[in-house]
Amino acid sequence: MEWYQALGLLVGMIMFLMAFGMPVALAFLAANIVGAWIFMGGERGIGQLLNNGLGALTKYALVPIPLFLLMGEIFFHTGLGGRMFTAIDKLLGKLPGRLSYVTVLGGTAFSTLSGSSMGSTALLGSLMVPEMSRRGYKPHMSIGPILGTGGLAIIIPPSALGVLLATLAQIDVAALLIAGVIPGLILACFYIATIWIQTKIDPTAAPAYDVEPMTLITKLTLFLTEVVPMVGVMVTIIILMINGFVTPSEAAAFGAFGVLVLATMFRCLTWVSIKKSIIGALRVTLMAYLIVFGSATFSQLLAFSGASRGLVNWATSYDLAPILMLLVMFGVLLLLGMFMEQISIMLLTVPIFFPLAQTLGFDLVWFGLIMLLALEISFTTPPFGLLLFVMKGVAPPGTTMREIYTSAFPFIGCSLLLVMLLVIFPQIGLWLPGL
Amino acid sequence: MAALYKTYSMLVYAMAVVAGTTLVWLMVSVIISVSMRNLGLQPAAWLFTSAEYSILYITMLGAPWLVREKGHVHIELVTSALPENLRKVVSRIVAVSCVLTCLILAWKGVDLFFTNIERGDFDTRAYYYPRWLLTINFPLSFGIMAIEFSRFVVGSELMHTGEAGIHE
Repeated sequence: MEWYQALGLLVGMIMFLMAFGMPVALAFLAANIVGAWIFMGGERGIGQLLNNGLGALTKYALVPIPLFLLMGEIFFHTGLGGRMFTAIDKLLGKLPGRLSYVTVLGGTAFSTLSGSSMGSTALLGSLMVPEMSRRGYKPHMSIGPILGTGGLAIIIPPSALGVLLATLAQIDVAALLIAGVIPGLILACFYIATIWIQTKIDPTAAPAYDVEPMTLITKLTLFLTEVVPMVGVMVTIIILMINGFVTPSEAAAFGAFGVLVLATMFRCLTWVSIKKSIIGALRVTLMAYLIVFGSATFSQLLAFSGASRGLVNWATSYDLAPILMLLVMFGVLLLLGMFMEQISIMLLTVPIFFPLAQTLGFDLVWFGLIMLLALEISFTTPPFGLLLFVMKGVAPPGTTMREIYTSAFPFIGCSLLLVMLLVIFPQIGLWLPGL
Repeated sequence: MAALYKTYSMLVYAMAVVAGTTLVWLMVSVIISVSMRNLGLQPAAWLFTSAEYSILYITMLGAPWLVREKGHVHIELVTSALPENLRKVVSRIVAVSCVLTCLILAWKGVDLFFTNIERGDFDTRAYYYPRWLLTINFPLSFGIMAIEFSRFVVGSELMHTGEAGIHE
């Protein structure tokens, strides 16, 4: 079988099964079974699939995924996230577009800590959109920032998807997580600038309104008690990782433990919140791990069938400039993101894109960051970007998909701008992990 | 029959509870390791190994429960565009494919489990761990997943809602 036939069979089968609604993890396993039967010696190949899965699922590098998720879920279900958000809201005072800024500032901290774009979009959507509508905000000023910040969670550590990508691509987990810090903060700044421009162009889109005045002391107390402890957990684990004091697994364990301690101190830890947090973390973990279970075999199949080598040779035979190849890969990721979710895209593309990126001489941590950004953008790319649907679910009745799509575009533009900056100045991402 | 179903359901939930508890154990084991290291003590090797094995146990013991909860992410692209009657047929065919996939993996899992017992295979890390204690997960998990998916083949409930988008 020619490499392109093998590639078409493996990738085509997964896409076909997924399009017909087969659960993503099962679609991968089914394609792996067929592939193992053809390329790995029939029945023996399926036995090998199980052995590969066992090897893939007993790797210490996977430990941070459930722990980052647990950390976020505790933060979310104990109400710590809501407290921090309310505090940031009070701190900003009277400002045109105030609630949009609150969404970006609070949302960045919240979505980063929660590590789950869907969770934070759902919370921010249900918390902020009704309030913003009541204050006369136009839909694009309320929905847009939420969609943008929801997607930030994927690049600012702690990011469970970042850990998964690094594990699949076999690159340094800590380096990829740390590399996302500065680009993530730049992106949040871009979002703030976008809101400022939008309020300048159309001041009626987000009218200013009177708020209860606060003294400086009250503000300072509020900041120190309701914002610093929560953000402190995140900043501490990032600093410890940058300094090499802890590994990503240790950072994740202490992050989860730290949020537990905080919740106890704030007296908001209940058995119900613990149960909900564990269930929430378990659901996402299971899906990610089941896909990882098939990942080793999928990579092997691509290698055994000659598909990955054939594709790399074919792609490099055109002698295209590396930047053009990067654009093509970026485009493929965005295209896939229109109708697939992130973990599946990673599993499909990592075994092909990373060898290609290495052949092209790209820094793999930098490339991983670009890939995470592409995935983040695809979160909000119409028609099937996951966050668009989460937003539709929590937005006030009568909000159309069209309104949600148009609200997302300026923020997708910000992310694309960041990708351009990263291409021109790779050090934005690579400086921090290089320290 | 009702008692059998109740016992079976309890098994599915009990496995999920073990998976959830193991997830918490991951956090605890890492914290104990780091604390011991910082106290100048040598962390026990089994703490590290147990974390590695935990990942497999979490996945395999929790996966059947996730099927019951319809928590496995799926995309409704084609099913959302189909008329209701056809959608029901396609949904059940998809569920049959899931059952088949799980049954094949459960069947080869049984093979692997017995091979490991016959040969007396060990997984060699910091300790020698009987490999069948790991591979027993495959027939158990994929077998129960097959049963859970078969509920969407013959039961009144469908896997698909017909609403376009990504579901979990």
